[in-house]
Amino acid sequence: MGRELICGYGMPLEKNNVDTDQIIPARFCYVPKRHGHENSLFGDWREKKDFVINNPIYKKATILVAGYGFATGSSREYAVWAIKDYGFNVVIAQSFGEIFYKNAIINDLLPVKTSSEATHALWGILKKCPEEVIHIDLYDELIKVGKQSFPIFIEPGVKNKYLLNQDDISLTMEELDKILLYESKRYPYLATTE
Amino acid sequence: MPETLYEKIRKNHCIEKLDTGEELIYIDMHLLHEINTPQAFDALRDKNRTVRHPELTLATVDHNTPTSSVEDLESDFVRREHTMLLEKNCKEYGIPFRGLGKNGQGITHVIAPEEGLVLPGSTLVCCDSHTTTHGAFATLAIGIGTSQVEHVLATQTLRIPKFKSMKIDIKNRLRNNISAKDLALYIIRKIGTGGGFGYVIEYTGEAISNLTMEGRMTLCNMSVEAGAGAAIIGVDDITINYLQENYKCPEGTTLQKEVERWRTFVSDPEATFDKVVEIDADDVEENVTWGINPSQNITFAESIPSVDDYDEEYQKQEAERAYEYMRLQPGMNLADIKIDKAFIGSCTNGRIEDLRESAAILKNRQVNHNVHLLVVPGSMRVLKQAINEGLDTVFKNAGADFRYLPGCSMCVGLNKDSLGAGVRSISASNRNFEGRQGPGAMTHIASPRIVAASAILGRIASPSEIEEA
Repeated sequence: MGRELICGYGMPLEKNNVDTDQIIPARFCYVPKRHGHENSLFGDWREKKDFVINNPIYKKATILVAGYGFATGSSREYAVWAIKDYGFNVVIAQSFGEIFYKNAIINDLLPVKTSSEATHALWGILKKCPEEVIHIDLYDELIKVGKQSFPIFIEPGVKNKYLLNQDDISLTMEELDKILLYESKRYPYLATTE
Repeated sequence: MPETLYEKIRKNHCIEKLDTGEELIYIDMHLLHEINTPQAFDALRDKNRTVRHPELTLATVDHNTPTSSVEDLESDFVRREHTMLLEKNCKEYGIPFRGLGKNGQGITHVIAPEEGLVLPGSTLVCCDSHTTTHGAFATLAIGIGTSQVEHVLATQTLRIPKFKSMKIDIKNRLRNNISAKDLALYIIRKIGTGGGFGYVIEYTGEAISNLTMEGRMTLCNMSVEAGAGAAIIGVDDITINYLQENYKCPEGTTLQKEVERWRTFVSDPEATFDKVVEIDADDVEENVTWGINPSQNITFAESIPSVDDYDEEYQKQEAERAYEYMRLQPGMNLADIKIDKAFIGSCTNGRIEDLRESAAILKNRQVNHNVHLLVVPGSMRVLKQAINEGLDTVFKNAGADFRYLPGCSMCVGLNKDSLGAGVRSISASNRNFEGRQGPGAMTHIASPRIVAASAILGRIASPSEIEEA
């Protein structure tokens, strides 16, 4: 079960309420493909030299550590694609926007919910020691850094989904009989667009 | 056992309980726009899948299209590619498509209700976070990502986790001239940008019973700014009256039968909610945002808060970020803030009632010479109605820039109406996020009436300041 243990270097994004308009501003959503968005990640913020993504000491980071309310706002899946294309495979935050959370799981980007204390502690650690390895242990539901550990709050279904990494549509297609049965009993006078 | 409205719809549409903790839910209506859909169609083609129910799907263009002229789209290669892709995809799969300036085109969340496509007790999804709008019709309406669009196109179902339920009960009526937008901003400030995480919010109470459908749509629309997964309002006479005007009754049933059925989509009186929030409409005043998220809003009697006024650490940090980005200081009042741009439109406030209310303020008055006021109808139907009522003339006589094509326009920096750096706007849209209306642009969110009054005075202003003058 290799997917239960993930480790990597972290990047501290010391901000709260980072909405998807910041993760990828709307005008960067012009490439109608799922890949090729790495240079659009934090498209406006990265123009500032002191923005964390421009700091070479975090170049190898694969785990983004954000704060409260990460990726609220627009439903754009571009936000997940840009984070993945840049090279992250985990985002840690105190809370997530609903649509992003779902988009992330579908795209195999693990969203890890933890406490406010944990995000602040991780920010502190990463600022002092960028080379510190973060371990995400889904078995024990703990984030481990050195001798410290912090809780992971994950719904059993979400965890299972991440571990199995299955395609939702293929799974739903297997339920086709049940969909057909539902359709045969569906109220016949609902709206249509034809 | 008594059930909430959300539970009734969820159970009605549940095909199967999945071992992921989600439920497989049938989707009655699926709306598409040009920005978040091309990858979904590409994936369908790659995997040789088809669109299960094109007749339960409707596509329109709204996000990146110009509001000036159709020719402006023709000459814009990058944006035209998006709209052409959607048109081509719709043609291939037999999905009805509403091209720019054609009958029925407009913002997804404006066109679907006015065509009677949003019915009580049904489920609706769209690749847009403001899909929560449609909850005004006792519909379970959820915003989704592109991969979920693909899921719905292929299967007409979606895997949805169970939400918790929250009742926001608003006693008393909103006072005169206090709008649904003011109420929405008040609620977002009260429960916070994350207050709705994991919840479906049902709005109840006297204030809601007295809101028009337009007002209810505005309130449900803004609920996503409080983090809600969905928002919902039970059916009453106002819902029924609106539907009767727009619903085309199919053969095999009667309007009376349908109305009886619609009336069942309310929460049972004894239903229990996971959380209840009580609000007194008497406490709600006109609100305008000063910061960079919709919860950072104040009334005309208040001043911009200092960091010490906030309890939570994340709120303090967000306030610091807001002072810097918005170039404002704690202690300033709304009336101290001069504006360059004003906008009336969007899925939040681009309906006929919004245009009427703002036109009433602008009639026989002039937009300040330092301000550019842009007025964009939310749909072709709203546009035609505005012309019929002479509202376009009222706006133009006041010096406003009235547009004859519907779209998201200045709400989102995706089209030609986006703002330049350092430009400050007051906007009847939904988000004051950094760069939302263009990189470096500063946005203040308010009701259409406040936007109109501010455009006249050249600074953020309450309509009462000019109506009393």
